[in-house]
Amino acid sequence: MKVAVIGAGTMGKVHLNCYQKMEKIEVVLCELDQQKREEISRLYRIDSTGDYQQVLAADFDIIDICLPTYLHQEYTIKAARAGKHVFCEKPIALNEEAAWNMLSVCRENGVKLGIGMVLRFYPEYRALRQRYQEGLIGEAGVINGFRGGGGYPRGWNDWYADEQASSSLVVDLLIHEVDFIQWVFGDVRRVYAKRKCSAGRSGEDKFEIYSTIFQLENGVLVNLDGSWYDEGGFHSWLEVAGTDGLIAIRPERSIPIKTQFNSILGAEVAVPASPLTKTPFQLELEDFVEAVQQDRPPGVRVEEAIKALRVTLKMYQSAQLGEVIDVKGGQSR
Amino acid sequence: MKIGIVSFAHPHAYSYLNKLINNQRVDWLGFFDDDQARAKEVAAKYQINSYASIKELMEQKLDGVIVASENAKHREQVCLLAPYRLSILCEKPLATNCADGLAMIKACQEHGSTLGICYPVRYLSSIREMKNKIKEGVIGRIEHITASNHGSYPGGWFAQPDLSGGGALIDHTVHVCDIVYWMTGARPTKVIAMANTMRAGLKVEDLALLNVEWNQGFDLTLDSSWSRNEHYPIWGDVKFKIYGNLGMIEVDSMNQVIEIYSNKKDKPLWSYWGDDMDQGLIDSFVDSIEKGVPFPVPAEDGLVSLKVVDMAYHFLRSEDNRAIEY
Ligand SMILES: NC(=O)c1ccc[n+]([C@@H]2O[C@H](COP(=O)([O-])OP(=O)(O)OC[C@H]3O[C@@H](n4cnc5c(N)ncnc54)[C@H](O)[C@@H]3O)[C@@H](O)[C@H]2O)c1
Repeated sequence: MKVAVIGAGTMGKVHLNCYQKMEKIEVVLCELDQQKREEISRLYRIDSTGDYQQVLAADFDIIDICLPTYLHQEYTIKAARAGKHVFCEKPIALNEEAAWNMLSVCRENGVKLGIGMVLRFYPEYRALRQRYQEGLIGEAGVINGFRGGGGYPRGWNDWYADEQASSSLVVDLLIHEVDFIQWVFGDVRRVYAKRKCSAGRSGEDKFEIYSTIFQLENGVLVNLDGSWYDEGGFHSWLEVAGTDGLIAIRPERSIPIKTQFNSILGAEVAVPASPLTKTPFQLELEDFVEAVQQDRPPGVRVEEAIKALRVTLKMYQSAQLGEVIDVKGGQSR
Repeated sequence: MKIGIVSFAHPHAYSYLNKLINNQRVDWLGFFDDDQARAKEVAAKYQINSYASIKELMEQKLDGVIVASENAKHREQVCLLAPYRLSILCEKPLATNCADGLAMIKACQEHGSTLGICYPVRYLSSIREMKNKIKEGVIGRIEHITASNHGSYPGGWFAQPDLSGGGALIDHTVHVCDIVYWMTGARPTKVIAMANTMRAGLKVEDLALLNVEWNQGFDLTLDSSWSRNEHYPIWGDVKFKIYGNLGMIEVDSMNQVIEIYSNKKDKPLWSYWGDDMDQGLIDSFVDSIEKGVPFPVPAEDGLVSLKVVDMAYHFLRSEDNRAIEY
């Protein structure tokens, strides 16, 4: 299998690492920034190009798009038209129209589309799902969750700070939990969101926080917060209280190894880690590669990724209007 | 000093009584309880005088009284106590709605009694430190607060709407909203609420999520659900995450525990060793009586947090998803 990873930012590098651990995968990088491209291709000992047209013309099986969100639609459609299967990072696109467009062009061209809803491949979230389905806590009643930390992300050209390019924190970050919750507990009925965000570019004092409350069709209540404050580093947690108990994923129970440096050596940061034989990213990419090889649908259906996008866009809208928004219709209870 | 207790319906009353018994400045204790079986039990167990009515209790010329009855009885009982010109301390919530709360405050003012409210969370050191840091401005201007006051299912009259005025929403919202008010002086202007009942056959909501806007430009998201089951290692929590424009403060006020895994218990325990908030509350009540000053947390403060409850139930009942702004 030949794979081209497009974009060598945070995610592109993660994906490259995964492909290099997988068997019978030949991976190539396409990155606009020449310096970055040369550096990464030397580091990973892989071929690279700065020209997407070249990628489209070559005999790749899969094009893996790790570009800023506003480029997902354009790059996916070009790849599909060139007859390549597409794996695209989440969120699928900036809006629903673009997302459906991507899906229909992929269908027309007979190629598969996979979306990086990676939370579904995290073992702790999968364990929560399995234990819940075993009935250990009865029926879910209220869910609390959080994702974020580590400060405001500095992407290429500061695209995270540009709402036109990222659709803001709620779409970028909380889409993970929204997708997971809909997968396990059911569809979202109505949402309310508050957002606080300072103007300007990412940097020391830019902040953003979303606090959402929402309800599923089956009545389950959810409070989900997302933040780009420091929060002591990036992390997420989830807690589900039900009629017969409670299940929690807690950060302090997810880090088996911590390395600390003596300050005399100059570095003071503690580096926590949750090592696994295969990272969730490798599992999600293996799933997609296998889907292509076996000509089966990928583990996460595109329609579900779009459904999660819809909910987060309603949250975005709710924060602007200050009203509860019905996911299916307009603003009603 | 002579202190009375009106009703042991609220389980906190037993904790208050223990503190009063151990307080050397209190030399007389008596009580009235409209539940006769409970009255007998309390009188026998604690060896204190039981009276058949509020009037008889008041004939003992008390300096102060604590009202720990069912929420819906606060109004009538406080109004009966008000003419005796004494220091009255009322369990939270002040009443089941603001109109009742206001009537209680008026009655006390007219007769020269003082009315305070039990908000024990104010006596926790971690909460006090949080308030001081906010006042010092270490995280700048407050932008947003996410808080939780999760609890276990209290059962009994707490789940009878005619006595409680509601479920988890009225029970727990007031604690957190009081801390926000006490810390900032801000008042609530808009409330969005979502509630549900997960326990079969319950007549009140046991799950409630709120978002409250305050008149200083920040908002509060609050989970006040009775979402802790019997096997959870502690009764619940009182947590705050306060986001400012310069940083964040996180407080988990019940996170001063030892973990216990015992063959003699059917569940693990998080055994709390932090400040006893009821001790701070009762000491301060006794102090205020000794000094002849009103209890430091006036009933008017109880009205601010009760307003949020009023607004939340109004929102839940109304058909409009756009909250009324106050
Ligand atoms: N699944 C997850 O947990 C997760 C985490 C972070 C980001 N993401 C998603 O991954 C995507 C990428 O985010 P990121 O943080 O890696 O971005 P980034 O800003 O770190 O990297 C983007 C890279 O793309 C390159 N680039 C830009 N335009 C290009 C073009 N036309 N052709 C080739 N290269 C180009 C840039 O030079 C940069 O190196 C986003 O959609 C984001 O939402 C997912």
